[in-house]
Amino acid sequence: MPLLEIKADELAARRLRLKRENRKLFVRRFLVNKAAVTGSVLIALVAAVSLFAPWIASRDPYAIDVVNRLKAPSAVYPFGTDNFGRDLLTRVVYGTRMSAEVGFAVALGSSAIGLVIGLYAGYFKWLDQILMRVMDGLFAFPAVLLAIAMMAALGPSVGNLILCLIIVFVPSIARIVRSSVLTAKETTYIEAMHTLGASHNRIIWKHILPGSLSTLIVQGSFIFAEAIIVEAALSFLGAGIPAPTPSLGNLLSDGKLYIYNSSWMTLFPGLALVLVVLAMNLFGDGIRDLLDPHARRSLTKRLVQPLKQRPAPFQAGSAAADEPLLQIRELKTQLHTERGRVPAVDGVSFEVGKGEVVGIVGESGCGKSATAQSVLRLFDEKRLAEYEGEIRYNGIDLLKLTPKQMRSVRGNEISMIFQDPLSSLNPVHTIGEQIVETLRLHRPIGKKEAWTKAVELLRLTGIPAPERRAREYPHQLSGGMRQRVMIAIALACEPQLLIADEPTTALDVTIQAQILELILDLNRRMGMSVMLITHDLGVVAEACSRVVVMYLGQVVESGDVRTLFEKPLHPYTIGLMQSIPRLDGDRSQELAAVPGSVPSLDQLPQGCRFAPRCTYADDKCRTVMPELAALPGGDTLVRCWHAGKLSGMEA
Amino acid sequence: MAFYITRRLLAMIPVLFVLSVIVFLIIYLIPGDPAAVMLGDGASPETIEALREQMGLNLPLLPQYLRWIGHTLQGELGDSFFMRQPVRTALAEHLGPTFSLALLAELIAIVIAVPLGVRAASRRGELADKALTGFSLFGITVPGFVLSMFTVLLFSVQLKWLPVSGYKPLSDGLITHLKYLILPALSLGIVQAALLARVTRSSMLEVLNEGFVKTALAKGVSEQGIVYRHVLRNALLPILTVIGGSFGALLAGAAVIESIFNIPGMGQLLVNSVQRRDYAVIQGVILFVAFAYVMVNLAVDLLCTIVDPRVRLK
Repeated sequence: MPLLEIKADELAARRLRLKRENRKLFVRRFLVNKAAVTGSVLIALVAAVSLFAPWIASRDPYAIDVVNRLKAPSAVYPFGTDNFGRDLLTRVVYGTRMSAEVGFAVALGSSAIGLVIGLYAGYFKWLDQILMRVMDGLFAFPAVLLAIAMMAALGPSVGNLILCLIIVFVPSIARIVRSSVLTAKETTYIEAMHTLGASHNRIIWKHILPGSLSTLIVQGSFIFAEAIIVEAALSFLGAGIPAPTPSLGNLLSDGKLYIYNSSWMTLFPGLALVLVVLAMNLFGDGIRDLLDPHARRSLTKRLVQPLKQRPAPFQAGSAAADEPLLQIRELKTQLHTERGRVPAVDGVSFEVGKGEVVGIVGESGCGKSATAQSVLRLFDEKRLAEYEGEIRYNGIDLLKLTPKQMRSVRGNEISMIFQDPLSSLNPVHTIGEQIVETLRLHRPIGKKEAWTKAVELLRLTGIPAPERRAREYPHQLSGGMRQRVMIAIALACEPQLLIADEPTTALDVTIQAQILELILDLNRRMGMSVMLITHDLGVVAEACSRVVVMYLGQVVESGDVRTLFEKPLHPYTIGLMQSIPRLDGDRSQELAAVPGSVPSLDQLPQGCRFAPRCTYADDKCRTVMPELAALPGGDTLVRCWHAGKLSGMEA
Repeated sequence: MAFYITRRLLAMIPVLFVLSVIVFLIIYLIPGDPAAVMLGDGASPETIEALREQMGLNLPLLPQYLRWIGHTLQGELGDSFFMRQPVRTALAEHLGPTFSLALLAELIAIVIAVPLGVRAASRRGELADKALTGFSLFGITVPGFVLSMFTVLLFSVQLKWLPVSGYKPLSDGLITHLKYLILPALSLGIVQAALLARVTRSSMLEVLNEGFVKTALAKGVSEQGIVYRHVLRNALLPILTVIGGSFGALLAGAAVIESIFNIPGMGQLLVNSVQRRDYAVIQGVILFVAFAYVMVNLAVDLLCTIVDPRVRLK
């Protein structure tokens, strides 16, 4: 099927392009990764010593010279001599070469065999059963012991040692490759290749193998190091490389008897061993760090300014009746990422009144969640984030509170629920325990009382058989129930403000309405204000009294829901609205969407941030950023040069 | 839970089978006639033939394996050719020191590694984290037997605080027992601690990225509470697994350490038997250690089900 082949190759080509872009970033990160660079330099050193051994040490490593036995290091013998009067420098150089050869051969051999076994075992289920059982069996032996036993049978020699070590290290490589194949197999990309009819071997070697290679390089370098240590241990015990041959293990073994009077015999081979092992480990570590998405974050620069703190005790207090519960003014949250500091929230201002439900809308990546998390200051202020502006809650600026004061606000005055209720609940604690924790953090009550209250809260949020459910773990509940549990946790201390960050997105459509209704019901009954973050304008229309539309970290339009829905002013808002299907709308009219996608925060456009995607954009839009302002005669705030003109048009 | 344990026990059968086959086949790695190799150059053809008969080498491979595994399952591991005693007895005599040594080393590793790893993860980039990086690099780079040679030089030869080598059983008193064991255990334990500390740190870091950490933060839990109540408990599984796995490395490391410190344990028995070409003992030790290793890992897996309810209910 030639057509399908082309499609498959196109897929592969796209992946390649992505890879090439990533590679540039990889090289840059490699150069700042100290471990990887130091490791590489040391490896080059070891390689040079091994390759040029005869030139570096001109003496014969086997030449016995009894007159000069056990000479301390001197100008003639930089590392001293051993018990046979052999020059130790020469022996260490040749020993390093031998150890490096063994390490290299073992790393290469076990990687190659382990790779083939792992690739096929991971790919074909039936083969997996057989191969992995054998690997499990081999893996059940402590590596060194199995090697000792095999060497005992085979007899000491370099070839036998390499063979034994390869057998010993194959299972670990096979396991790692297998698991990375299993992961790769699940990806849509590989599934697509299947559908397109690529042969098994082609998929394995051309598409899965490249993904496993990086892991293999890392593991290979660790095995290199490990093999050298095991060689040393085995030779040390007399079951490795036979005696007069210089290997680091043999040199250490020679030194053992003379350690008290001629410690240089142990010191120099010991240092050489440490150096080689260090080189391989640093290299492997560095590469792994570069590949590990978690570790990457550790590269981000530390925060420059510490947070300003005013140690006034926090009082919940109550502001004047007409003052809004939450007032955000010019909030700016900068996050430190690998690509430098990015303004996730950039000068956001809005208010949430008492008992009010305010919606925050926008596409993914528009800073809705970042705004919400800034209110509770959930970002790691030591490493990740910097805040500017004001977040006044009941008249008190949350950004000025000490960490301890801030803790008494979280879960107590302001609560938050998240998108994915499964990952948001702790899997190893029961639901009851998790509610009790919040209660006991903020209220001076005993365990029993808290437990009773927790059961009550579960009942309040509509969970059937709450006594039994309280003793269950999160994974025993359905998605909708988990979100109810999250709400119960959030409500435990009767907060004045609930921040709901896309509370229904991860749920089944049928459950979504129920959860939303629950939140609104609690809002009505308890008078609790709600900040509802969503990308669903339907939800906003149904639930909120006011709405804030965000785009790329900024508020682009905000106002009363009814006005805004009747007459949206910002082209972005208009676009969002046109993308909702309407039952009463004109069916012949095609469903419009906002063209393009949200750019990343490190590539902010000049001028109006929406200009590149806006049909009305002109030169002014592309160079000068508009302010958020009200149009004459209106309450709605909008950030657009053309809002005046647009308001005259029909949306 | 019962279902999980049954399944876990059943899964061990193929592993134990493969393991026994590997141990059985070790004899066949010997180049030439095993019996002739064992008896040495001066042996007469009659003695060699007698030994072949006794070892069952004249049988075809499968009946030979069946005979061997039959004996093994009854706890009959054959006789030591050199020591003229049953392998079983030899193992029993050498078990105690290795057990003490491995246990003490494991304790040292845990006590050093877990708190350090936890601290390093929760204070990333700060002092504890840097200390961990240095320490783990040290532990991974410096092999236990090299480290032990230098600790002996320092503590026993220079400072004369501790004995140079030897072993005293627990029956001689705990202090004496520990005095002889502490240096070898430290040499073994530090290497394991390095690995364990890294695993603890990375496991903690992984859990720190999970959603429920943010929930805990939003609830108003303190940093201490988050680290110990929420994160550590979730991070324990890989930590426990590595502790189980490190047991194997400890037993293997013991082989070298015991011969340096002259401790009459299984490791020394193995090394001596290698030099004596006493294959029955070699097979016995390897089989026993691998079996013990599998059992320790089984125990760890069962422990995991207690720590993490998700494993229990899968």
